[in-house]
Amino acid sequence: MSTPSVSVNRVLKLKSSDGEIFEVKQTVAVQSGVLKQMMEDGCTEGEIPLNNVDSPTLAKIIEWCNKHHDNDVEGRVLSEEREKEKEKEKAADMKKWESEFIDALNRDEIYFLLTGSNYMDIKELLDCAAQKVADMVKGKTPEAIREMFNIQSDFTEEEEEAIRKENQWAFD
Amino acid sequence: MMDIFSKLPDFIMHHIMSYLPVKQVARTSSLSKRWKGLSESFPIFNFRESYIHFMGKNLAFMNLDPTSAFDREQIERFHKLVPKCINLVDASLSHFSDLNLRMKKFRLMICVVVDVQLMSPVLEHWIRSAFECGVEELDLDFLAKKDT
Repeated sequence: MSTPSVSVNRVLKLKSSDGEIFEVKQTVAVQSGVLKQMMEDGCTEGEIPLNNVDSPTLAKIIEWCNKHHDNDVEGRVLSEEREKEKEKEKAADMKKWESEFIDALNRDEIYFLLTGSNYMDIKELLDCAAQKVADMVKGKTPEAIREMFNIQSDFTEEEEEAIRKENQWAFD
Repeated sequence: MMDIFSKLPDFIMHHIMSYLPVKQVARTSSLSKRWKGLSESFPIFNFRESYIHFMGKNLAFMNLDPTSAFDREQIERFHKLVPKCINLVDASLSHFSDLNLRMKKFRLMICVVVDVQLMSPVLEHWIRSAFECGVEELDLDFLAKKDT
């Protein structure tokens, strides 16, 4: 039987690409599709190497997952007590925490968070980071976006003009 | 500082772009060749904002009253824009089939203050086209007027 043997007290040992070991509760680790699959397959003994995620990124990812896990557990207790108001308040707090968490990151850290959460298959975190980058782009002129993300245009002036003409409706 | 966008894989870039309004996605095509390619292969068809684009934000969600002269003028103004709007959707859909792109999402939001009879074959054609492009997710939002 392939019943996942997730227990509250058991921890997984995750090894970052630069060799640092992080301990994560199984109940937290299930947020990662990859780790969840490994638990279901019963192959989480010893250190689990995450070759595409470095230690600063893994620390961030675990911080995010821990917060989400705690929030979910508290949320379950609250909804049992039918405290809808408090639940709403908590959701708002979580949103605030998330946006502060992402805001504190620089471009490079966001890049590693995107690739790391993708590699570990943590959909909510990937969505959260993608949304953040989209927010940074939203409403900005092409010039401002280039400057902000250090994008070098490889168009000639004529080519760029032609593309803008083609998409005129979007520039109005 | 590195250009993080030049290193992210296309599917993550498309995921980021899926959070942008349709106009902004089109605008990013002028950033660089990479971005132009990304917006050409963008697998999401999104016609959400365009209604506001045609009507102006203030009018888009107003309950227009055909007996008022001002509203009638707005409705007429919109009717004149309908062919333009249909052409835009048609062009965008044929872009998908021309390039043989698989469509991940088809998002369409239309407030049908226009003639429902006129629109329904058009809508049917659009949805069929989306299926022909292998659409995985349909997100349709129609705000029809009560008395039509």
